[in-house]
Amino acid sequence: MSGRLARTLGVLSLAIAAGCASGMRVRADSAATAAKIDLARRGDAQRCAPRELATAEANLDFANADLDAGESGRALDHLREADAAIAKALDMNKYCVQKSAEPLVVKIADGDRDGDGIPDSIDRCPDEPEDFDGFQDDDGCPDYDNDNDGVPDSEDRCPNTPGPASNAGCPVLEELDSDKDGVPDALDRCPNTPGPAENAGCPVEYKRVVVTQERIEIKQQIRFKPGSGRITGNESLETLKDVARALRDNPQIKKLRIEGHTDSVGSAPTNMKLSQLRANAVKAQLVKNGVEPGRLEAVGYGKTQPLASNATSAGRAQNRRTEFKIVDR
Amino acid sequence: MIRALVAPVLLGSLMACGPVKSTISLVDANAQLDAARAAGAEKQAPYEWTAATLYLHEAREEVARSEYEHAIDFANKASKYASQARAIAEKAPKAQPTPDPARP
Repeated sequence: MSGRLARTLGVLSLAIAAGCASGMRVRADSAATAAKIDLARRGDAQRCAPRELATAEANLDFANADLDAGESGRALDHLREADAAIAKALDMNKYCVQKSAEPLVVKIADGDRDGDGIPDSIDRCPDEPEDFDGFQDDDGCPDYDNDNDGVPDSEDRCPNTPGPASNAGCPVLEELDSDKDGVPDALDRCPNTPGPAENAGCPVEYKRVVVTQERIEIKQQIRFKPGSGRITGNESLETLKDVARALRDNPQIKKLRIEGHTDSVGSAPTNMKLSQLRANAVKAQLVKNGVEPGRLEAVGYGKTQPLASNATSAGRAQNRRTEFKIVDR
Repeated sequence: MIRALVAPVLLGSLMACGPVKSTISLVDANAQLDAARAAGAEKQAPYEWTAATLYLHEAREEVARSEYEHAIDFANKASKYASQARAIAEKAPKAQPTPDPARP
């Protein structure tokens, strides 16, 4: 029983081995046929022997499908058919009339010395590469200042619209400066609040003053020696330094009025005189801090413009004051 | 009872899938080939025409052997070649037949 089983297994193994060997051989033949088909195709078999080429290719495809299905016998039949067809095709290729050759046209390559992709024959600047910045890019010449405003494109925020260098090459549009700080709205980061160009049109934060549309507000009043125009205290001097700085930063402020006000204590003429004296002292200090005298005017109002009641000491303290009003910008 | 019926029905449907698909592919390939023939593809596009007819023939053989997957593949190729053959034939000038390939 066991001997019969061993024999059966042996026969089976031989059959499988033979089948495998056969399959492998057919696969090798298939590869050889594929190579011949490739050769024939390159030899223009599709034109010279179209039916034969198609027959060979189709049968090779069938053979491969059969091999995949384990049908090596049928694969071999297809392969024979493919071989016969391709042999015929290769033979026909030999006798096939060559296609008329294309006339040989010798093209002399147009040079491009600057390598900008525009041939020298049409390049107005053959030694300078075009900059392809969207402005006259067909002439082959770089355009360093598209709008010819004297501001190089690299620094020009409006490269295709002329404008002065002071405005970063952009046109100055007076009507578009809402806060009248001299910085056009297009360039003004704070178009509705005055500020120097150095600070992109935004107000500079000062420690002791605030610049508004109408005035320079001081956070702490200027102090004077009682009954005189002499400024006292470092705080007062520091505040005036900030006022001077604000004026320098805001050249659009053409005229600033320094107003001196008193409380109601004392006679009107005395108060008027004292307030004028104090306004003059403030003006002198601002001039000392570098403000042009022409931008300043000092006016003493005495006790004529109180802010609060003079009946209380708090009210009187409020009325004793110096104000800085912008009268021309 | 119902459960007992579902499995065979599903299995039957799956088994029927190959024959149905291959039949559809064959019908389509046949139609393409007829159209190509009508356009004169046999003469105007001999390479594509020959390939199409061979693939269709083999597709039928595969159906006969119940090799539906191959049958569908070959039928689709037959359709593709027939369609190409037809397109070439329709573009070719009618009064100017393609020269016969040279023979030894």
